[in-house]
Amino acid sequence: MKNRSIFKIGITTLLLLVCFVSFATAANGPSWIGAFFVKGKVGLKWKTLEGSTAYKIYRSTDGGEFTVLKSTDKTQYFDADISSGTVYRYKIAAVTASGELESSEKTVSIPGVKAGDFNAPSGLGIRVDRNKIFLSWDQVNGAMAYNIYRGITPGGEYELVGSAQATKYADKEGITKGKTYYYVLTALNEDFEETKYSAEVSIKFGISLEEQKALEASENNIVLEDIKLTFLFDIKTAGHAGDMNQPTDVVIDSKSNIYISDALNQRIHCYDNSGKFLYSFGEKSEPGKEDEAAEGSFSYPFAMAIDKSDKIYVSDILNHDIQVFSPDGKFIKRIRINTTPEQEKFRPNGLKVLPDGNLIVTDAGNHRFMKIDQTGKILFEVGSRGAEDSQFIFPDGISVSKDNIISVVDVINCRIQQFDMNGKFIRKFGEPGQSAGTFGRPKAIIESPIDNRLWVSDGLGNIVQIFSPEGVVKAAITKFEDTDNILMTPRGMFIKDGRFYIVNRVPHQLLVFKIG
Amino acid sequence: MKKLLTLVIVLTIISLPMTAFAAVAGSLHDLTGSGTQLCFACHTPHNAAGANLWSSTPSGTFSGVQDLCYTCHDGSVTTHGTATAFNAALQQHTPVGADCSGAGACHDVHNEGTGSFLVVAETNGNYCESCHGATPFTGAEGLGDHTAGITHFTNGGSFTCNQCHTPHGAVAQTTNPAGLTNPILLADNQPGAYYGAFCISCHNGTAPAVATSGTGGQAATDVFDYAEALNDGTELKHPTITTTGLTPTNGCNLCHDVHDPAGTASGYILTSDNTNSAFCVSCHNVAGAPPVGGNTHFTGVPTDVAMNNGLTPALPWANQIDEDGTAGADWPSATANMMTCETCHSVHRQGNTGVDAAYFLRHENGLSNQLCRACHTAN
Repeated sequence: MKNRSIFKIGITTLLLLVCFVSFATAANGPSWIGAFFVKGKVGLKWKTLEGSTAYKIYRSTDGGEFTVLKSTDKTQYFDADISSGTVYRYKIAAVTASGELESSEKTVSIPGVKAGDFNAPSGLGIRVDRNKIFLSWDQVNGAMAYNIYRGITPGGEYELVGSAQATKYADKEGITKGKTYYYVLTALNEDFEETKYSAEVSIKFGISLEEQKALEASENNIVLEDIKLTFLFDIKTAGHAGDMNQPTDVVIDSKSNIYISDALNQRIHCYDNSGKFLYSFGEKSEPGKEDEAAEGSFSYPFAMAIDKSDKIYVSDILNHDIQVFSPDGKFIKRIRINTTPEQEKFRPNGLKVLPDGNLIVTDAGNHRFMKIDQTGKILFEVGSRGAEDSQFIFPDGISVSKDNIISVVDVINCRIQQFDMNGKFIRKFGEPGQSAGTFGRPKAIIESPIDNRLWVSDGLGNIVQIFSPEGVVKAAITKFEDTDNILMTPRGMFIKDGRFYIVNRVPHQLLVFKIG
Repeated sequence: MKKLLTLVIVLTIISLPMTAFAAVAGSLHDLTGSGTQLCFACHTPHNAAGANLWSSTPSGTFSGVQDLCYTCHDGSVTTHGTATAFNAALQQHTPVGADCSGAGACHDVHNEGTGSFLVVAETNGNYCESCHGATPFTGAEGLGDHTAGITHFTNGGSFTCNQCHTPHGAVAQTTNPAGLTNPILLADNQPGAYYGAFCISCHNGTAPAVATSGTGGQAATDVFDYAEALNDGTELKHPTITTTGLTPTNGCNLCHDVHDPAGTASGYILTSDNTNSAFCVSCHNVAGAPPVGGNTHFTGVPTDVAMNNGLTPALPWANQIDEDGTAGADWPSATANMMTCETCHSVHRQGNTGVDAAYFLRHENGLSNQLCRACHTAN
């Protein structure tokens, strides 16, 4: 009981002391209505003090001395000159005839972090999942957003690739399988002040098509060979016509002159073996009259073949014919194939001249290949639309080997079918896919005179695969070491005198390499 | 209820690829032709190295999905679009949305839609009005692509956008007037110095045959030949030169806008009304063109309104002008019997009797000032 009385006395004394101190320090200036941080400003409002002629607003920053911020005759003020993570104290002094009468102080803390105290993100994690690169990091105190920068060399130049408010980001634009990417991050505060770069993280984004083919070949006990190609030159010019526009095929004559079918310029160009333009031949067919096209004219020259006397055979998939020209470009004759009303028009995608003058030609319009004579008479035909053996879905390029094996590119079935010279099915190889020995959009096929291997261009994979004569994949070419040129929708190819020629359709060029 | 909702969501998700599958089956994009395994023609289900389950992402000068399209539309599988949509040297319709196929785009490769795998509606013989409708299309309004109510196509309403434009494979323009970047026209409108060569390929006196009758000084057999508006260096035509030089930099578009909705109100798809030659004066004011100033011939209603009949045909007053020879006076609200610019001049040489007249006068004036004296008979 005694102790309780003592406790009451103590409390009472303490309260009196607090009241005394408060009275002693109480301001006699304006009374506050409020001081708040709102919408990026500090709003100050106070009551009118009778006898005042003006008010002075004093501000202290982070415990510093009070200085006059503003004088006003109003009873409110918005302080916009503030910084994130800063503590401000305000007091109002009423200017009266007897001097300044100060209000009490109000403290306002501005949210966020000061730029100087703002750290770059840390704890970066990186991983690849399917077609994205995922980044994660630790939250930075006071950060309102993060910028993600990407580079292709370590410590090298970075480009801003995105921003995130969360602590994770999925990068999926502009990244290529098989390449390594380097990332740094920054954090942004409310004032969009940005920190320095974080520590760099890097990751290899999947594997390239070439690596995947090699990997899967390895898994299948296939060892892909390294084919050495030395870049010699490329050809883009179409002579007086400017540049080529989507060339399709290439053949080389006995004098090593180069002939290129320039599909959208509707001409054939001839160059010497150094790539110097010599001449062009062919006129543009009259639109709408493709089936009655003038001799020597083209609508869409596509495949070419050359015989032992250097006569140039050019197929046209819109004129539905094959035309024969002398080496100097003079029209010799036109070969047409009769089709029934039930059939689609003849669309010769692939072409090969046999030593006896007969031709082997694919007909994409009717999903077949044929042996025809120089008059267009069909000696035999193989194929209909389908996926069974001896059936095709849009046959394309064709080759005939020294061993008299006919190889036909079967585009949509993603395979090569082989036949004897009577059209009897022998074998097939390839299937849809991206691993070694599979195809996306196989286009043209040639037999190398060096080792009888089959080279197949692929317009989807942008790749050339090399197969044994029996169809075992041996090598894959996707890029070149000594040139920046890359394969983009490759098509027609030719190998002669140790040189490899390949038409790169969309870059509108012919690339020429030395083999070895 | 929750289970039912879950079931509905699952079925919806499952049905999405099935919908695409069903739409492709039997279409021109059913490349297998068998209705089975048709997805495999473009997609590979496992470990796809490319985007959209493609075995790899093709690269080329085209964009996005079009690079994959090209692997067939390169002539090997189909010839459709090989020389047009897939000819980067020609002009193509500006992409709508992120790609040529997919959300917001014109095409959907999984849906034959209204033909050519188009998902836009066909209206009045063309597909353009789905977007280029009653209001100017956002992003192209500055070029006036408004198709509703235009007066340019008056041939019985049978003209459609595709008679001048094509979305794919349009002729690349040699030059364009300022602000025009991608007109996707069927022919070059400015192969030389003058903008309007494509316009004149129709308006050449033979087609369309709009001038078959009328007054205004044009004989019924004198087919209106706008080609005479060309500055060909041998005849003096309406000048379309800049104020800083003698090189023609404009042409028909200087006064006309074939797509300007204001053309309906102004007449003759002029960009401004020419009643009482107001449009003429809007250029011939100060520095923009030879000005009509204080020393210019009188314009207004003369005391003797019969004084213009000294020539055959008579020079027209403002309310009698009939440049195209059809549908009566061009500016019926013009002041009656008022002499104005077009009383003596015709920018398209209307009424010229065949003898070249300087300053595109309706009649030759010559050293004897016969044009002047036709009215001023007392002189």
